[in-house]
Amino acid sequence: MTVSKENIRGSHALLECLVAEGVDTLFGYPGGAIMPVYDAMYDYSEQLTHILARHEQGAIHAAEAYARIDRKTAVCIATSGPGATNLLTGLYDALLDSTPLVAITGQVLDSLLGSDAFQESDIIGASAPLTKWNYQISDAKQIAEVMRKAFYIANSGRPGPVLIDITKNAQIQILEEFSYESNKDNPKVNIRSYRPLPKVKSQDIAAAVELIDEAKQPLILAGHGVHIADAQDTLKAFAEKTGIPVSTTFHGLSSMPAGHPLYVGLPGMHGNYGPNFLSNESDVVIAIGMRFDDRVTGDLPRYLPDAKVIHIEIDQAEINKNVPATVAIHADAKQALEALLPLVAEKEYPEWLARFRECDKKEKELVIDDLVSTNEDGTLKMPQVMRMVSDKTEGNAVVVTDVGQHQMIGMRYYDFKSKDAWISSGGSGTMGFGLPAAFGAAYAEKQRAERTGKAARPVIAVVGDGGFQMTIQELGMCSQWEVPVKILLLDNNYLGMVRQWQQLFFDHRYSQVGLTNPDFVKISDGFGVPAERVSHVDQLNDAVDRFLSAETPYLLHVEVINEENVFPMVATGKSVAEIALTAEG
Amino acid sequence: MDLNAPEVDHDAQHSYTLTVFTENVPGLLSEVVSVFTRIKMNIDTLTVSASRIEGIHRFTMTIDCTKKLIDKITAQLEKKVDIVAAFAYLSHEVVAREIAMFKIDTKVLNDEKTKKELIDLHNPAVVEEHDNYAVLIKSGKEAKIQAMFDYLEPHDCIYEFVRSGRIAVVREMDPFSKRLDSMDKEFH
Ligand SMILES: Cc1ncc(C[n+]2csc(CCOP(=O)(O)OP(=O)(O)O)c2C)c(N)n1
Ligand SMILES: [Mg+2]
Repeated sequence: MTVSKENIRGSHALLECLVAEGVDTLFGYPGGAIMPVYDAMYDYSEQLTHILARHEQGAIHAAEAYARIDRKTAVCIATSGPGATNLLTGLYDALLDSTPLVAITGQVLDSLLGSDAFQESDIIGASAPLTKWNYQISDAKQIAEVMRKAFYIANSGRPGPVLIDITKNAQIQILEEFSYESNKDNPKVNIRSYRPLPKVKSQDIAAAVELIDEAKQPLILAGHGVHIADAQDTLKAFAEKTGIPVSTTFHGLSSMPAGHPLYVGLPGMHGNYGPNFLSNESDVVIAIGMRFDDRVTGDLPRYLPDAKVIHIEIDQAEINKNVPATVAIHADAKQALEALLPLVAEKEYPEWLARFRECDKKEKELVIDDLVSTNEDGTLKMPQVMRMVSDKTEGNAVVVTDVGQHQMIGMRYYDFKSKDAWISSGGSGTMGFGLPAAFGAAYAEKQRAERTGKAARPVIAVVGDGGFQMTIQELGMCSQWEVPVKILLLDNNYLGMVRQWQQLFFDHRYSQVGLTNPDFVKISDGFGVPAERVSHVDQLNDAVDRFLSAETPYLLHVEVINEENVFPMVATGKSVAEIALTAEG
Repeated sequence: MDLNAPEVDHDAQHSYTLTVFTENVPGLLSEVVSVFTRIKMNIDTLTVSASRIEGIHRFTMTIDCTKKLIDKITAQLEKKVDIVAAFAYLSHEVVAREIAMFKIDTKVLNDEKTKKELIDLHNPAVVEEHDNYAVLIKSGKEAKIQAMFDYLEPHDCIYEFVRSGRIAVVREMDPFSKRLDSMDKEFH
């Protein structure tokens, strides 16, 4: 259905585009250069809910998680100048973590561009390297075409953020005629310079099948692309037919349920022992929707020395970028897996799989058992807390994290049983992401529950004492919207991850990693978010119960021991096979 | 042209001519250049102009780097939404020329011996001649232009010297149209 309107202002036309694209939620912050759009929102309150963050960074991180949880394009909106520049960190985060986002920024009048007018910033120039595409609308007649393109580009191929800057004159300009055909109504947008969805080539599939069928010790590395393509079930079917062990990358996490007989955990710097230690022994690696980030490969020249690599990847620029592909399948992960599935042979690799289980056993005995157990003095450790939350939620929560040790602990100790359940800042490691992102995820869960009639999954924000303070003001957003974000603050009174590196690699010289923290419970209370603090194991069980049963946003402030380190670890410059289980090696 | 041909050493330095086809939208120059600045790479020459196809701009660049790197560069360029295609060629795969303009003191042309030598050796076109200065144009391979500059320089007569940077056509028949066709076939 094409929307057609007469005598409509640019600001209204812009909102018409959003509504036509199926957008019902905006995350943003108003200001001078975007006021006509905010004024128009008044007329669209039935169709569009605007969520007012406390800082534009909060708005965009919320939008990111909202987008990622069910793969739909999210919209955030800000004014010109500082409003727009406050979005930059989020754009960068969304670019690196392939998040479909349309950011709308106000801009000064067309006639003032280039004059250093009040709150004029060259946001097109500034955001160019941080966006998949951007464009400045300075005439309302461009709105329909540009918005159509924006939504198409943001959520096709490898998704990413798009920024649309709109000058104030274009917002107030009256269009005698306006019509808009949404991407839902007509998904085919023809942009000759942008062809996002490659066809699966049968010769590539045939070459891959041959390698797969002849493999002796194959390994699947399933990345973010599996989640983005909604290919989790296909991945599982493919793994079960071929019998190949599956390791999920940081962003692939929750694509295979924990405890699945073929699931062998995470590769990479703080991943599991097996997929690091054994990956260099695999003869065929099937990399699906992942980009061989340096956090995954360790020392690149010593990564996968003997493996033939089948790389399934939708972004051509990622193929042969870090690890050369023996067979490249330039395609959507789901389409590629669907093409492979009927052709591959049924196989099993009991001995190979047993070696992963041996590694698991070793990791459990040398690392995990101790960390999830109770200290004699009753002090608490992050893994112990995380494991309890995992058990009590039966692995069915959505976990959103900030960045640091607690993030690695969330990743390692939450046993995901449901898919689309892990949201964290990976490529950019943005501290401050956790709280606003958890809000966005919880809001999306709430909407999903309303849509499907199923219960919303609990959303747990795992944050550290450092990163929490970077966007702590978004407690206000949580309390205003009464979205039941469960904030699990794992407080080690340190910028823990940096402290860990200083301890291990900088000769224990702690430089600027100690924090004098505020009273988090009081702060939370001040925002109207109920909170409690625990520091002893005797308090933990009941506190976690209260935390999980709360129907409002809730802060559980857990004081954990200060100088725990995250292990295993593939230190920078080491080969993945040199993964250390403990500080002693 | 097959850059995957085995005789190309992937780790050795080569001189590449890049042709990049883009939509004609504002900001594209910096988009193209950012691919290079990001990796601290010098672009030796860069020219931008309209192409044969309406609405498509053509960038020609010369870059010294390895095959490994040029493949990554073309992939990063093509990843940009408004860039249609990027091709990298070795010297033998293109016909490349440059144009240079010299604004010189007219005294050089007034001296018969020097004038004759200049014309015989370098054969520039004299496009304007005034009492105090003259404008010469020389087109040819980069080395030829350099040679003319080297000849004039000792005469202490050059007021201005400007080079266009390399422009090139490729020996292959219409790779751009072929690419558009293959994109139609290979994408949904
Ligand atoms: C915006 C930003 N600044 C700095 C860093 C570097 N950094 C990574 S982890 C970390 C420490 C985080 O401390 P905290 O939030 O307390 O988490 P912990 O590691 O203690 O669990 C820092 C400073 C970052 N990732 N992001
Ligand atoms: Mg900390």
